[in-house]
Amino acid sequence: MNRTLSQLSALMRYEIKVLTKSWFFIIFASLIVIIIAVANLGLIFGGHAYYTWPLFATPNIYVLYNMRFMNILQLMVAVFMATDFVKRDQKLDVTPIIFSRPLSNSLYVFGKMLGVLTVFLMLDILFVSLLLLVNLLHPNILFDPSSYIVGLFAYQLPSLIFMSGVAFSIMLRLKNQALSFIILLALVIACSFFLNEYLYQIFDIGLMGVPLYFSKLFGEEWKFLIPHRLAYFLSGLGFIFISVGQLNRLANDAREKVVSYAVGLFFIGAGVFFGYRYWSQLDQTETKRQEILAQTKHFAEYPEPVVDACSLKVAHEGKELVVEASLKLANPQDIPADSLLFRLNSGLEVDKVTSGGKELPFERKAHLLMIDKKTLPQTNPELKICYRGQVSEVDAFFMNENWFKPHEMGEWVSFNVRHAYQNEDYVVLNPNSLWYPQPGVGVDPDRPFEVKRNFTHFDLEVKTRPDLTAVSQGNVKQDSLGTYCFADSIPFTGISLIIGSYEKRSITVDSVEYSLYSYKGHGNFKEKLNLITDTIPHVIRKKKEEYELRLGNPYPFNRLRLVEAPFPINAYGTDFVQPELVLLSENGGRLIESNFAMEKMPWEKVDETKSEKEKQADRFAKFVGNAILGRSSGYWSQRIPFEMQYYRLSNFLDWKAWPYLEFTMEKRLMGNHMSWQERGALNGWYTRLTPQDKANSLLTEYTMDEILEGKAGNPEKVKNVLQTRGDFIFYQLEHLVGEDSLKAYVEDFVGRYRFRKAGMEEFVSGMEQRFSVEISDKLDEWIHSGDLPAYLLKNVRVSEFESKNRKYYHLIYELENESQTDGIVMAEYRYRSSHRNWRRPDEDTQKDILFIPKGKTLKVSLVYTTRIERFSINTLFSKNLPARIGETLLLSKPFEGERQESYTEILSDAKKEDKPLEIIVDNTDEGFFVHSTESSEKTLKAWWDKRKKEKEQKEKEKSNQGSEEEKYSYASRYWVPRKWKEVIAHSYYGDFLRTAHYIRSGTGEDFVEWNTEIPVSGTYEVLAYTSSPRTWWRRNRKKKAYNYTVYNDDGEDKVSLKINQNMGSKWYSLGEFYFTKGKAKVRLTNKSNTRSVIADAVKWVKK
Amino acid sequence: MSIKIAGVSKKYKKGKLALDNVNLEVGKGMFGLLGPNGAGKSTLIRILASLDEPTSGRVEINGLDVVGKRQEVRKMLGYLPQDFRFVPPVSTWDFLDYCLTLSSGLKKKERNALIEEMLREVALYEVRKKRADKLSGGMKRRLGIAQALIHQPSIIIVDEPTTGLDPDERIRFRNLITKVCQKEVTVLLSTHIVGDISSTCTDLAILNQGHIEFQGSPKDMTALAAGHVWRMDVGMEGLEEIKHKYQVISTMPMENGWQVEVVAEELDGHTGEFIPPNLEHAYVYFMECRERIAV
Repeated sequence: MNRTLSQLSALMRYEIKVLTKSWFFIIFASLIVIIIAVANLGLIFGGHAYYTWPLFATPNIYVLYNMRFMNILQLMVAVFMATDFVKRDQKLDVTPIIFSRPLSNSLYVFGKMLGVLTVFLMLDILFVSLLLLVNLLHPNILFDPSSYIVGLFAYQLPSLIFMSGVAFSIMLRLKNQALSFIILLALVIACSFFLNEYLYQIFDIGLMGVPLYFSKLFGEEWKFLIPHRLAYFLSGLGFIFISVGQLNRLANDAREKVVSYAVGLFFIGAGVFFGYRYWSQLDQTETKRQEILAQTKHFAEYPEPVVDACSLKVAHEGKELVVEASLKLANPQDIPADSLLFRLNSGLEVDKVTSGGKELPFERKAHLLMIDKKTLPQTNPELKICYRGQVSEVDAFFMNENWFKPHEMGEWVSFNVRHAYQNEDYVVLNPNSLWYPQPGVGVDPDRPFEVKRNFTHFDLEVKTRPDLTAVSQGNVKQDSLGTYCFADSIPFTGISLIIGSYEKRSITVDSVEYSLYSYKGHGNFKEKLNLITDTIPHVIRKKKEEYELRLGNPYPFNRLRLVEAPFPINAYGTDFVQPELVLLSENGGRLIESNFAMEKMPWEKVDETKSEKEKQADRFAKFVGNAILGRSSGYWSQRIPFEMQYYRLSNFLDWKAWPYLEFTMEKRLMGNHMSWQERGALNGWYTRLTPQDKANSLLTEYTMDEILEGKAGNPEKVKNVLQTRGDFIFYQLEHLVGEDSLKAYVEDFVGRYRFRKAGMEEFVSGMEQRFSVEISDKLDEWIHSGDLPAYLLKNVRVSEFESKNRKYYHLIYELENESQTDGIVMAEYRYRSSHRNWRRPDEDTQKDILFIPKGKTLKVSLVYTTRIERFSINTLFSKNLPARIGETLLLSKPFEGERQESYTEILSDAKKEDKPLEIIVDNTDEGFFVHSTESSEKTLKAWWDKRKKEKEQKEKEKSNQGSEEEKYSYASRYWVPRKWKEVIAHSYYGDFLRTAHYIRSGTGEDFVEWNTEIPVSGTYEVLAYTSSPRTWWRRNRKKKAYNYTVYNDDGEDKVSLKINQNMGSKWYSLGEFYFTKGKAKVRLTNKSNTRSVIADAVKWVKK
Repeated sequence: MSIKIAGVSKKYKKGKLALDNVNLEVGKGMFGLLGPNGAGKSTLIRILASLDEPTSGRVEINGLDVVGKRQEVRKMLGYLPQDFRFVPPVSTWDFLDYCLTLSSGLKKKERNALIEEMLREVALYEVRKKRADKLSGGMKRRLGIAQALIHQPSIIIVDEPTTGLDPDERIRFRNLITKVCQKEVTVLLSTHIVGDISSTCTDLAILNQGHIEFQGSPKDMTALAAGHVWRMDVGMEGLEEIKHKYQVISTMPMENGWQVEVVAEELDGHTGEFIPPNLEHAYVYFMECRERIAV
């Protein structure tokens, strides 16, 4: 034994000596250390806390973030090292003398293997010391020793063993290092970047997709991690044993080979088994999800009971909850069904259901609970449901088919989203986890836009361990036994149950109680806010007033509880906002403003004249104003949709047929902001169709009723249409009664119907009474009308003039509604301002609603003092594509004969002018011909793009979004395609559908042609319609040009058209040419010194 | 101390028969395995060094079957392969330590003593800290012999040890080997350089085209050639004819022509004086006229 050990250690030491002298290792190890050191030091000392806060706030993220980076680098090196050892054996003359010694093959391979591992361990120790150093030196990074252990042994080691084993084995088989290296590298890359997305990340050897980060409140998710890592560890070991068998040396004992193969296969089998275990765990969840989904769909139409009050007695015993729920039902006998249908988490086992002391028969179907109501007492029926167990998480996310995809924060940080959590130390259950019985099946998965909401009076008693604190909704009292009792006079849409080791801090301002529940030991903000204890109420009051001024209604609840929760819990959807309760991310990691130690944001200046107290107050104000009530400015930050408290969680407009008004209502209350997609499309970084564009293009194909029946595709699409149409209806109402009056009415309505359902009739009749208008019929028309308005924007011009020593700008434009239905649009003018706030782009924007009767043209004249930077018209609900139209405003000479004032007027029908003969060929016309060479897929990027596209397409098909590819997109400034692509923008030529083709500049092999028939011989002026290219260059002095070729009677004429940023969209002359009757064409190639070439329209005008 | 090779044949996958029914017994002392290039020496050596298996036949080392008792056999073996140029980038000392540990279960202290002694013996002590891959060719060869001897094996197999060495190193090497032979060991020296054997071996065998064609002492071998080696003087023009007719061993220029030594069964119309054959003469004679010699 001693002899074996000393031999093993000799082999190992020898391998270490040889490896550490290998130039490859030295260079790579130094590179790894340098890269990681520089990245870390940069991160820590150079980077602003703004960027690094999420990394620091959760202790293991910092370590594991680095480990993941290290892991992928290390794998590459390991592949080389492992193949190198085999190659060295082939090359060195000493191999036979070692092979003729009495050691066994397994000893030899394992000795070498240990050598390789030790070298990496040494590298890891160096790496870990570096991390430790930074970790301990930096004041803001929390220290979490366990993450080092997890990182090294759960992440690095299994990957390393696996990769080395496979590398040994492949190299011994192929006996060619270069080939083996390429194959293995391809394997690492394939596993890390492609295969990792399949089978719930089982192929993720590079740890690119497997959730790496765990909440410290939950601890590591061993249940998934262990089988995943064991799969790699064991199969890696298996491959090492296989290599022993493959070793090209006569074994001491002939049986050794057989045994090695057998053991190797056994370990690989074990690896596969654990891989299967990992997969099957997740797959079982998926199966269960499908079952829940199927049951929900099956019972979607089943009549629902109404619960007036729900009283819950909860005992938190170990991992289990033991609950006694008493439900007061409104009118169970009126329900036209034999059973009362409830939903209750499928992990909770129902012991019995009683009513008036009598047991009722019940049945469970997945998460559904069906109680036979035959023996239910007629009067005052109260149901008592006793159940116990641990909630199953899948019930909370069964509508999300992508549930297994890790949530990604940035490129490198990913974690598993958690929807519910329950163990002996920590419980967090939101209503969607169905931890208490709720009536009916909830939202129909096929019609998710049909919102359902019930208001129920809850009272809750929670017994838990004395060291734990329970949090829920309602006024809380603790009795002498330590039981928490929650109750409120207000009915809630649902209640949460959170139990954990919390510390509570409360303050009451204007009769609202504000509490912060932070995890014990996480309260490092105390000293950072120590000077402002007396100022806090003032700040809260001020921020709340500002916020409510916008919403027009006071906070509906009696308290607000901010509860720290593990970040995987509040990563998904909006579940982390519950009535009078908001779950804040762990340590405030996703709310930069909760880093009270941070002096300022990178772009801010510090006012040094302010006292420390004032600074603290400012920071706290930012926390309230931005993080809680607004939008956190941080990196990887999370927006808290706090407005939900004011509407979605306290009101319900039960407009069954027209559920979309619900969405619009909330949007209205918040101020109608431009969607991020729209903003992106305007700014050029979002190139796909905006939700509104999508809705409009869908409405050109289907009627509203067809869409609601689901003929147009998946619910997401329907939601788009509903929202767009909802907006349209609200704008019509605004036009009818005035914007401010409507806002006042909506606010008033919302206030009046707090905590109870309101129907459409109430809304309409209230409005008719208040404004004495008739809207029922109109509403019907707005809702059902299949006609879409279509607008043409014409004669846009702007000039400046001086009056009384003041400079004014004058904008005039005409908007024609060419359709047979009245139209309404919103004109948006964004003024140029010195103060730029890209997070609140609407602040400098003036919005006007314009009503344009069918077939009429509206002339708008606008006089203003600040120059307008951007002018656009949101056509809301129209045939226009893009739906938002607008033009670059270029100053022209002062207008003559125009009134210098702001007004709108409907123009009398214009006379048709006699135009000279002109032939226009647009890129959508038949005469337009596109020639793309097939070279486009030769580059790796093109291949990658193609693959990505195909994948997206597949996913779309899978999610039933309809299989048609989105036909149009906006042009991208950054990634210009190598093939001609049709893109939309209002600056392109066209009437309602405005498109052009564009391509990346190249050799001129790709071209387009505009072909036409010249009807009459003669001289024609040839003009090309083109617009300012969408590029990122600004001050490039080099002259740019497009190269057109005009084919005319004299042959071919090459015409170069100069292009610049400010050219605007119009017809540019290419010259006058003689054409005889017959075919004519103009060609534009992609040969250009611009980045992209846009091909739009060409016209021939007879002279 | 013995090696017993009985009916060993080795056929490679491509069908080449490298060894054909080889029978050989090697006792204590130095044994020379002589043969031209491609005779199968290295194949036989690899089989003896337990690096390869015979297709058929049996090899026993100290009474142990090389195939069946490979581990025990390996414990007794010291092996120096033909090529010993590409060595790893570790120090001379570390390399020997590595080799010694793999062969023996000795403790560090014991190992150190052995290594030091061995390094002094092969005159590499001064370069013990130098990287083995940076040593000169002769030093590497000495390191090679040191690794083969370091664990005090009873069977030492040395394959073409002096190829490429300068005369000094060659003599040094021979002395070293002779010294080893004074212990209770068997040394099997495979070579195509007759001089290596004549100066050291007590016994030898000739392997040619996979067959053992001779086994006996150098003396027996020399005796075979007695009466078949001549020295003669030839004129300037006669040399080509002589070369054509006989196996010429040496040619020395003289005033009027050449003095040549030839090996032949009979002289054909030439006259010459007999000279007493040495092992090299005997080897040449043997290889030339083996068809007529019944071994």
